[in-house]
Amino acid sequence: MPPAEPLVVDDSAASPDLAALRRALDVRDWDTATGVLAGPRTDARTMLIRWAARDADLDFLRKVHESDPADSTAGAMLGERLVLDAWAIRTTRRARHVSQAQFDAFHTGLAEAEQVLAATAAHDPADPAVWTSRLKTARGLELGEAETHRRYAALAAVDPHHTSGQWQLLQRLCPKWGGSLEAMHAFARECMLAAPEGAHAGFLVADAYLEEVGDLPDAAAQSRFLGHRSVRAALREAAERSVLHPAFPRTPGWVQVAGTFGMILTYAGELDLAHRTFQLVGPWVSAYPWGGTADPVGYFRRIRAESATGRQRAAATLRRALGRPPR
Amino acid sequence: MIRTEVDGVPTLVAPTVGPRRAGLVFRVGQADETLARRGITHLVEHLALHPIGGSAYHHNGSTGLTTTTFYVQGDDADLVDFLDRVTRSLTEPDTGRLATERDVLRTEEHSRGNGPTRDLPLWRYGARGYGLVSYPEWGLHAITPDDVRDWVAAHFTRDNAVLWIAGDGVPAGLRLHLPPGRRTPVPAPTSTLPVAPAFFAGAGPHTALDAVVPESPAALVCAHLLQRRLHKALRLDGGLSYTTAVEYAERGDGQAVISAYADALPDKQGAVLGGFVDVLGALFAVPVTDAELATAVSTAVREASLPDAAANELPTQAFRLLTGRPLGSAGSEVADLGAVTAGEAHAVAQAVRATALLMTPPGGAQWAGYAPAPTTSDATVGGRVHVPTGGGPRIHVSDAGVSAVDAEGKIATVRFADCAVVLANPDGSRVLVGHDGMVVVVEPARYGDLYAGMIDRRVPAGLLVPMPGRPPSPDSTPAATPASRPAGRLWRPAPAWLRVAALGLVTLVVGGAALAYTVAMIAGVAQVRVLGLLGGWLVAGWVGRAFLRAWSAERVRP
Repeated sequence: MPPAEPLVVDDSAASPDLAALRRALDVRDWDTATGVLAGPRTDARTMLIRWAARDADLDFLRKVHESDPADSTAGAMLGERLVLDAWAIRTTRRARHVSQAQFDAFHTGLAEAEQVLAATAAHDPADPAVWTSRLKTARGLELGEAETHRRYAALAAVDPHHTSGQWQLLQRLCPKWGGSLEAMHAFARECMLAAPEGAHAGFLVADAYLEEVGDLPDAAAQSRFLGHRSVRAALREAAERSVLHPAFPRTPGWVQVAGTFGMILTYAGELDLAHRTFQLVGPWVSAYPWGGTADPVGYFRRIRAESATGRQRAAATLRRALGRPPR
Repeated sequence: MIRTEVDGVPTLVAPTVGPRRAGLVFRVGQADETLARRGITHLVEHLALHPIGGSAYHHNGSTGLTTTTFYVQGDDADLVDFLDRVTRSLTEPDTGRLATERDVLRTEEHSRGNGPTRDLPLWRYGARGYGLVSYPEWGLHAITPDDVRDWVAAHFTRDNAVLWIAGDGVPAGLRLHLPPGRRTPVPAPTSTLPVAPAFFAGAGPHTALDAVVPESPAALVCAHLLQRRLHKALRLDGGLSYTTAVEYAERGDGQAVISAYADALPDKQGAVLGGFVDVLGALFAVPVTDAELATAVSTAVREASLPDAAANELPTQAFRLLTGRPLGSAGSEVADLGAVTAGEAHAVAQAVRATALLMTPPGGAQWAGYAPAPTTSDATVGGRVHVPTGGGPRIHVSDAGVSAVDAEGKIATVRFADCAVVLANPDGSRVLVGHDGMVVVVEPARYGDLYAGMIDRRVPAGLLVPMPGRPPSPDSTPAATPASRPAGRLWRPAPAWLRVAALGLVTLVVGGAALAYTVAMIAGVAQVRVLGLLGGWLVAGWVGRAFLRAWSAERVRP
């Protein structure tokens, strides 16, 4: 285990594969990049594609995709990059705070992404990374619940436990995108129970609670909600089935899973479990969930300290100050 | 199949294992009409069949896109009797029955309803030629006996007909009483689509497509491929659609129309569209595998070699003969289908993409890379602007045409030079339809300075069709609100405004009187009468309230 300090905010630091992928893309070496991503199309591959897409040269990604439209990895990476760019224009704020010009640019960007992804799926309908990104375009373009479920079914047919894609459907099911709390929690739990023990899928349960807490009106309501016996039991169950399970794999994405559990378990006052989770996390401050706050490192440190000292401070003020990290 | 001739009419004969039957096919159909005389072919078909209505044998007539067929099934004597009588009644149609048959046709149209794919031709071709099938038989209200006689003389001739007979040969004594004429070429296709693939948002939850490709065995195989894939994606795997249907139809000019349709429940419409678009995307992107090609070919072959194929093919062969294309045979068709390669089928798929027109649920398919089919005009006709007194579009009327400009600045223009029809409704409103399918609805009653005559006198001869009642507007018509007020040359206050004015006057008088009496009472110049005064105020208040309500209701009225 690396030393607990100093804290590291770079996702690639926790993943040698991501570091290698970024190096290859930096020098526009597509063969090496695809070499890193070769093998089974796991959720880890989807995570790597997403992270690498953010920093890769857009023109290079376009060129690679155009030179071989049947290269599913190239299509997935370019599509995901266009999705990320479109969302950066929209911002993650609620719809009422987004201007019409932003929405227009957002929709134009997503339509381009959608067409790249659809063309890629036309050549190869069995790439879960493509379907994961198509769940995002379906949500942003508001193609409706039925179409979202059709896309999820296409993903599940390839990989029934693809946590990144399940996370996208979870987003669609949450109230801010027109879903309901019941549907969101039910889906998260269903995914967790269907997945093998120790899998990342427990993250969905933790994130669903983070989602619900973020929507509560004030700190008192948040404390009351998270202090509820059934909520704490659900979080304990999820943690023990994933991040604290002996079989929990340290594959790309694991830091995000562990960090999310560290955050929500601390919020819920499950400080012992939270502390164990943070020991596992070590120095890695993942972009999600910490990156949505003003000072990710400082916030990480405070939450971790809280879990370590075992002193349950009035989490109310803390949570109100920091709120729900956007994604 | 044998080629012969009966009274100057080319005749195709093929043996059958089924009942004897015959079809007399004319090269005229709905696509040959104009919108202002839409329905005239169907009317002629009905008039011709009326005298034969009581016959015991089975017979029928059908008016298609580019052909009209009189069909009979029975023994030799029945065939002879039917064709003798139908050709006689065709040459001298009983125009005295025009009004009666018009009502029969209106009922037929009403009860037949509108198929979900009815609008596709309109959006591709506009309001003429092959696009006319999208429109109601509006011309029925304007067709005169002379129109009928002219139409018959031009199209129902022996030089514009082909007879087919499924049976041993031409029955003895068969006569066709048709005058000479000339063969009508198929209409030249028109287009309103500047780019493809394009889409328009239909009114329902269903998704449909049509595309125009050169007719070929590969195109037929491609249609079968599309059918299999839609069925698998939307019915078998997704459980989203009940019906997925693909049709391949020769247009008669060497081109074929491939049309596809998938139904949907409203809550599944997004997924049906998404799945449909994905099926098309895969068809366009990747050539089919040999195994899948073989399956599609075998289903196409099975259809082409059904029992009695030679007899069942007769209508198709008659159509080919009428349109001057080479005749095929069941045997050669099967061989041609078997020779189709994956590359040829993929080339057809590319041609489908290059001409595709998609009908989508309300949200459209711009996100999928389909361009919106034009729904507005580029410019107005200029001329004087008429501003509505209530809600409604601004209307331009000039010698060039009529334009409507809505609150968002969207323009709909119909130029008289490109006008397909002007429907004159009894309420004074006018519906102008351009050749490009654009619709302008003008309700003169909403404008102080506009009356129907300003439009009517500029409409080219023959295009003004008087309607018996407000017609059901086609789906592309901008939402038309019914107007019940008559149009007049001068602006006349409508009854509702008279009521408002009357209420206002009563309020003024009663209120004024009550106020005057109150002032007088306070000043001491009038007797103190509390009860009477209270009553006066109450009446004034009540009438005043009624006035305010009526006034505000009238102000917001569109």
